[in-house]
Amino acid sequence: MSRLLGLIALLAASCASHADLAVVAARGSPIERLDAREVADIFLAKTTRLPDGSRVQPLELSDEGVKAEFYREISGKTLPQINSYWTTLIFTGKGRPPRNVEEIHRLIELLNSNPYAITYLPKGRITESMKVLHVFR
Amino acid sequence: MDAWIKHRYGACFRSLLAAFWLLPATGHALEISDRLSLSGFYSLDASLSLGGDTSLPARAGDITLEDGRVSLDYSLIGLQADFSLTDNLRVTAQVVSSRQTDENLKPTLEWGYLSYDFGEDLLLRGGRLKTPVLQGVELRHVGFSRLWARPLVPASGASGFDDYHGGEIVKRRRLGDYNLKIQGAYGEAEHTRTFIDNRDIKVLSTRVERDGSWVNLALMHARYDVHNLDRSRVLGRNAEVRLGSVEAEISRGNAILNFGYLHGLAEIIPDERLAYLSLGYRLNRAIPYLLLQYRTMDYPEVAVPPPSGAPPSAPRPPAPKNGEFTTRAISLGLRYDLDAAHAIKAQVERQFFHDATYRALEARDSATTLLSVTFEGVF
Repeated sequence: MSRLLGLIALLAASCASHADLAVVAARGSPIERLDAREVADIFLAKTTRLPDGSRVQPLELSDEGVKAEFYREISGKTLPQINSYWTTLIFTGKGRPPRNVEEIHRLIELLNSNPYAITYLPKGRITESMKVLHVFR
Repeated sequence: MDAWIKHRYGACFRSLLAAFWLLPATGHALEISDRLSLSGFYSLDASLSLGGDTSLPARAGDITLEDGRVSLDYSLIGLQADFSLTDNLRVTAQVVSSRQTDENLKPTLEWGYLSYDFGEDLLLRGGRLKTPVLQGVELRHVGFSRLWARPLVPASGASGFDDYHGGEIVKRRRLGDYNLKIQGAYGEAEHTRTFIDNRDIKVLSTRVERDGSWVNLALMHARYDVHNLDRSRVLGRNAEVRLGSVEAEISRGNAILNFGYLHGLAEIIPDERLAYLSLGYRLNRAIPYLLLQYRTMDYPEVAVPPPSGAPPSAPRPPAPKNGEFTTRAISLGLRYDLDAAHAIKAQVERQFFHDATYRALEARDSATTLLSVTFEGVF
């Protein structure tokens, strides 16, 4: 019985895990693909550039659940840990977190207005106007 | 109690309370416009010393805690404004209100600079900056950024040269699995003591990161003139301090190991050493930790001439300090993350002092226990 409960818990955990997230840009973006390391470097402000030298603009939706999942995937850290990390950059002037966007329609506007803007979304929220650059597996 | 707090802490305390109720739980900066953003941090700290007076490191001179009395003096609030002039040029100002920086809680400008992003992950900035030695020097006032109740810095910070006016260049680069950051700084520092005038300061700092763990190495050199307390005489010209530090954080699973070592060799002002080792373990929102610290100030022998014109029978000035003052401390603490941007910390610290600073007197040993509860966050 306890093994069965453990299996159910494991399945539930895996269903709620990172498999649902993808990094996207506008369909017209010149960025074709990003690997996991590039995604982590961009969203953790370790770089502001793509390998070709273009300046990339990371954006993120104000959704704590999605953020927690995303940062756990790229850094293994919880949201408070990530916020501690951002404070070390913001208040020493050595980096800034991705721009926070409240509404999905505003996020889409920003993606469409800058071909080098990227974001991460649950797969269910990706639209036809977007191009998938990286999928978490 | 309320009247006492209002009298003693006035606007700072009210600001902290207001901050607590108004702050968002996300910790993200408030974006006023596409170009202007505001962010900030706060700490509401209540500390109690038992068994004797003790002092907490602060940039404007140590904060003394009287035996048996709760002090809120380590509380603070800080605000930062960032304004983008162009896509590459940004101006930043950060002010802090605290007894750590001003006795009367007058807001002080801690950072104020222009930064220019050259692309290629190369940043140049100039203005009023913090000396990039230990993380605790640059982030002394941002309690949310650290695990512990107080910053891990020597008593005088970077030998007193924590702030400087000048320029620095920051370059980031990926090398295989590692992220590398190199920072070079040059300028004129402001010493925390008014009788020390800096001539110049140079710092080279390197940080290597991999998988959430990092190591930071820094070298600092500064030249300065030292006056007596009323600045009527010069005790030394063009004296030098050389300082080196190594600091690291290693994360493996839920365990977090931090250690650091700093050694400053100075002329006229004290040599300083700091060593610390901390082990924390994340249990969901709580991180219990053990912290060991060793700090020493080694006072050099300074030949101070007697006051001119003093009669032979006049009281002699106290003998100059020329020995060591050592502090060893063991702390047990807990950080509990209330949400993504606010945390509460409780820390019990047992401090052991060995005072051998006066050659004419016998060394004295003492100990105190320091209890701290800190509520802090970012917005």
